[in-house]
Amino acid sequence: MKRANRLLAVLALGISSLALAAAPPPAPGAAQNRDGFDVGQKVQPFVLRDTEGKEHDLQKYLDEGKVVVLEWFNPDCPFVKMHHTGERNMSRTYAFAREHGVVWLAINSGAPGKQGAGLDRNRRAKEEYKIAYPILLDESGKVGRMFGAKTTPDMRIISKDGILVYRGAIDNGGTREGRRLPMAERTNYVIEALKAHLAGETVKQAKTRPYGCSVKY
Amino acid sequence: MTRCRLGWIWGLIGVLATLGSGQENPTLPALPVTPPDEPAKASLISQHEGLIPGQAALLGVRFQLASGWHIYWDGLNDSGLPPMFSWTLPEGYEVGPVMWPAPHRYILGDRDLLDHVLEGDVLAVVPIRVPDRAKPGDRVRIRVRADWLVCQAACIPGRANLSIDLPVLTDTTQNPESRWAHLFQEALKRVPRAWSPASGIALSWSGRTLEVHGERGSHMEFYPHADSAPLADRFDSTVSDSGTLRLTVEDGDRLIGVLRVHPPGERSRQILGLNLPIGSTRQAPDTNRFGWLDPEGKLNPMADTGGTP
Repeated sequence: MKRANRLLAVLALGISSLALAAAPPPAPGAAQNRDGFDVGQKVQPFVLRDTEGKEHDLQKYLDEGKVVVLEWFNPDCPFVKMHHTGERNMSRTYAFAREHGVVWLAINSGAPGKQGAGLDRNRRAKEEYKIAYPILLDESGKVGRMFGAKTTPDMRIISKDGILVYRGAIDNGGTREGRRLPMAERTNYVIEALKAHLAGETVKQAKTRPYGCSVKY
Repeated sequence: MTRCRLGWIWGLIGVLATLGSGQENPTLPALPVTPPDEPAKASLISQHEGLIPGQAALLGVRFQLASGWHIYWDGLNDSGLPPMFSWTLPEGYEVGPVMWPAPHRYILGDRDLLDHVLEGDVLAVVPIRVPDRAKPGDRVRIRVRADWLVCQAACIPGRANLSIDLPVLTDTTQNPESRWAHLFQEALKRVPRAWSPASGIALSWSGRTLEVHGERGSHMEFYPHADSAPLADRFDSTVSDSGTLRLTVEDGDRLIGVLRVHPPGERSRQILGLNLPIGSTRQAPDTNRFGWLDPEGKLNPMADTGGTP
């Protein structure tokens, strides 16, 4: 596996002490470096509370046979604003997921006091952006780091077997070509990945570079 | 004079020019834009007072950033987006690759993210080819729409429609430097030179690892370009104080980026551009598209290589 290779390469270079000191201790099946779970890896379940106080247990959704989409969120990041307003790229993508019985969870991994963090701000944002799905608060950043979430937005798709099948951008708006296209003409990686995965096919572009603001850990 | 003479700039940038010369697309999705008094101020400036037919003129998009704020270099970054330029040029004029200064590393959180950024007074030098048939005496308007993202703790997108009017002159003897010429001089010192063995920095491959050898005790940093194959360890393998760097490349066929070398003592630093196929220490043929200087620091690295005039 690629991530394992990456770790081996680090060890081989003899600079492991620094690299590992900053990384959380690897748990079985868990991410082994700061980039989090790679495509093809089994993810570690988590439980987080949403803005209404409701608990969401990833394992429970998987046990119900659901495919799960995670969306890293910060209501005050301009990229998030862009995808949630105007052409409503995010809710269009969500609508596709919902039609196919996919569970969608937004996660805010901003630390307390950081931009866009906190219960009140996110409760308001849910109204402001008319977000139909739960916004989970991850103020310790534990879940964000576990998944290696870098930007808002940053997307993950998890199969019902708990395997990561997609990680990266919502669309190709972060590439030189895609940036210049109207959203409707961009390649929506999440929809493409869901289409393939739900049809039992391998996701072709399973890993893309996310673009947006940094997650405010 | 034919276009071939300026092949270094014009050969590989057709795409840029095409994109730039088009009409603005009104449906283009735009980030919500910042009011004008925000942390980044952009302007369009020229190195010289005028334009000379058949020659490349140097213009620059200048970003004056408030302290603590940064824009993004086009590197393998975890967040942010590099500035984007859309040029509107008179017919026959063409735009070359943006010559960006070398960036700095910017690490966020508990080493959660690594970005490559530009701070302070940043000049993106842009060569513009003036057509042979440009008419002396004409005044020419060059326009650019700049879109950027400027961040501190939070990010603010910015946009400006910039323009500059320049006269077409007959020859270089009547084309004095503009009052901004010193900014160009300073900026070009920070633009990478394409690496060559003459730089004194030795490169060798061992499998998928590039070994970079400079003088013992040199401080070295490597900044991977957005088009580069990813590195096995961007955080630690890219910085060293020993005079040696070992950069291991993951899947992908090219290592692309900028190397900064500070030798021990007070001697001057080097900024070198690397565009190497894995296993090779010959620069790839498309090196000119990165807007680097030639190994001697000249602006016109491969004039005449595009063909015989």
